Amino acid sequence: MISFFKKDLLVFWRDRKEVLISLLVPILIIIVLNFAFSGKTFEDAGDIDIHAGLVLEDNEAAGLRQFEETLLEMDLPEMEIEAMMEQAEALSPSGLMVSLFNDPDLNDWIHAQEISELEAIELVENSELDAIVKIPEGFTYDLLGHVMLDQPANTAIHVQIEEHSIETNILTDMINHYMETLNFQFALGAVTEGEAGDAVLPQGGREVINESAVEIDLAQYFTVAMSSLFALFIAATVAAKTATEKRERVFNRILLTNSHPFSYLMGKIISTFCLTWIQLMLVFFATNLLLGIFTGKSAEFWLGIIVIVTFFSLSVAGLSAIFTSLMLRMKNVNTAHGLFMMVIMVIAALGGNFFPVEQFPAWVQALSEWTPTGITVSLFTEFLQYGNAISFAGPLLKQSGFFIGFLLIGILMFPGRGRA
Amino acid sequence: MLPVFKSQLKKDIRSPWTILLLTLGSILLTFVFANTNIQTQTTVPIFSSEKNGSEVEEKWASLLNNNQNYKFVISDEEEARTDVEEGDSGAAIQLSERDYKIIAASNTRAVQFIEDYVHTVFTQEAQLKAASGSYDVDATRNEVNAYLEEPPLHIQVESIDGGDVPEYNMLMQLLFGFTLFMAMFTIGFKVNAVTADKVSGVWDRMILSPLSKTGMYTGHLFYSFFIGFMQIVVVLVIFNYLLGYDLGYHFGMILTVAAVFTLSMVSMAMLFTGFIKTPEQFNMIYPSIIPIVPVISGVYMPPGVLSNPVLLFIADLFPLTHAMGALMDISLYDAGWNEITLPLVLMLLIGVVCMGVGVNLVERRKD
Repeated sequence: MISFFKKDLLVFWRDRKEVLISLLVPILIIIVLNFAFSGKTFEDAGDIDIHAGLVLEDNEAAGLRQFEETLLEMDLPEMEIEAMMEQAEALSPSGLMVSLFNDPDLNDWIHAQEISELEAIELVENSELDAIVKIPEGFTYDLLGHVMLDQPANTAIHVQIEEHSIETNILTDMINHYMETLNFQFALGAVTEGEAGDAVLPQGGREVINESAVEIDLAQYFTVAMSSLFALFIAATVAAKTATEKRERVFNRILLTNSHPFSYLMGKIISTFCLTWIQLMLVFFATNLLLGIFTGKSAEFWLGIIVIVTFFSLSVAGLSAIFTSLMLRMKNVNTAHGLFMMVIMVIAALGGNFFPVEQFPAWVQALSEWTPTGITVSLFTEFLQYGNAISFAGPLLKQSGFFIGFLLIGILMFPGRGRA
Repeated sequence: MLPVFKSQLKKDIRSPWTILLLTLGSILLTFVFANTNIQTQTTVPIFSSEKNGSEVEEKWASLLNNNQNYKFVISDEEEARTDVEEGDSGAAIQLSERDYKIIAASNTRAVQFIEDYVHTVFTQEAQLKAASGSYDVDATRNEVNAYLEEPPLHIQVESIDGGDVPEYNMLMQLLFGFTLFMAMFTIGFKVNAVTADKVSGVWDRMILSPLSKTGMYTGHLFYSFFIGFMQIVVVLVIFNYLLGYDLGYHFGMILTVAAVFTLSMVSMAMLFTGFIKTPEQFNMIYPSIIPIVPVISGVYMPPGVLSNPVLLFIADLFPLTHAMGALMDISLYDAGWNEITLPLVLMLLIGVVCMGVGVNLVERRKD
């Protein structure tokens, strides 16, 4: 068995260039992705900067005058008209909307400028503005009529955009929220007609169980996701080497030497384990040294990483047993490769190696907890977030289960003498 | 050219499993990941440790659950706390008659969103209570809700000329993405037949035959194109006509983009072939590069998430970005030929450059 293990290591050594590529590509990709996503988390898209053009078609003074005329026509006592006009001026509908954009808290990331419609359209088409917020003509009059005289009118604020984007969604959400608050106040005012007492507002409060917990950022996620994806490729690579040995009849010659065929398989498994382990550790250490993704972590953290990597490498080694047996059994090498790739892609997609599975339905997430990469990715992210407060036993037990299960399948499918 | 094409076709007819597997795979992946409602509800446990706990819980549960993003479930204190501690739910809420307390695992943005929402509900309820004074709160609430049926202020999102803006369709992006992604594998495996022929000696025997070298290459490459394109067509036809997905009105244009993409990918696979010696090496390198392409091209993410110029430049080097852009423009925004000319030309350019370099590398290798 040891001689087979040595042989497999030599096979890899002879192909230094390819092995080096498969060791370096994940590091390279992580560097590129890190460069693109550094400091970002999933919920935000980094620094949001929204540019909006404010088009005021409404003339507030004219609206107020028109409103006054309507009131005069209504045969109301003069006192009441005066009171209503005062109220209307205090309400200042388009002022309400403009004041939203002058809020100093928002001005850091929402840049609104008052411009003419033609100019605004040109800027949106040149992608210099994300959206136009248009307060239509007659807005003041219509809104006053609606709120104070109960005359329904179309009083929509128009938000004009070219296509939906994160920026426009945030902008419309924000305007919507602001309007809902105002609407609720209008509703309260209309229903109670101003006789409200003082509200006892909730205090709120937040109790954080784990203050030291950190939000995982995209760079850290991609480090584990990409490195575990490439670890899966090693299983396919080992099988690819088997294809060469099959083509050059090495396998048949090995059988003729009267050595046990399982020794051949064991050599593959152990060499896969070593290669995967080395690759993963290399990726973690190299990315940490180059990019400082895990700076300031304790020795305990690295110990945890070693445990996670070791158990995951076992699963990958088990997978390589299945792939090797399949490769020896299947006639068409390309079909075998297609199959391996499909298996890897499904495991990777479910395991969250391409995109986090949190956004998918519960059953996909449940399935994810039963893939080797899914276990690794989620264990790793939890470990990173909460430290060693989490339990390692369950995931590691599953991982060992995968290793043993894969190994058994691999051995059962392994062709005996005279069948390969 | 034709004999090479036929011989490759014969091989695949004898064992069609690779292609069937990859075709089924792309349908399957699209189904699992794209056919699900991506907007899922976050479940938040709520509990109350007051004397009249269940009453308080019932009251707030019905008020809090008036939304689409969160589902508030009544549970008991211990259970809720363990849930949060073990990371099963991001936050739990402790309720009292008029106040709340968030119990969170950590200070994340998601917790902030929950808190904002809960705060709004509690504030509105407090204001309702104050406004109704000695009257029944529920009656006031109904009146307010009736008033809000026709709110004074509302927002209307429209395009610049006043029409509708099509909602961005992530499902369609994933559908196209997975289809093209899987086709990239098929194309790669087929182009790899050139190297396989060289290793097995078939290539040398063909050189001795009356076949011209151009014919040998075009036969292989045209066959790879044919299979890759067929796979995309089959998948798209199944989705468009059998499963009733709405891919827009211009199926012909979609197929044109798919054809140009396939052409470009065949060239790219040829470029990979130029760098390697054996088919096994190809099987090692090609599949480890290809899965990264959709990640970089932003296929799995809504547009706008990737904004780094370096990354965008790298993505532009692969035909996938251009194909995705053109396909989405056609099916979502009804783009015409003028708008998709640029991506088509860019894909062809990538194809010409890759093919030129690739074939040269293959030919100049001294074995």
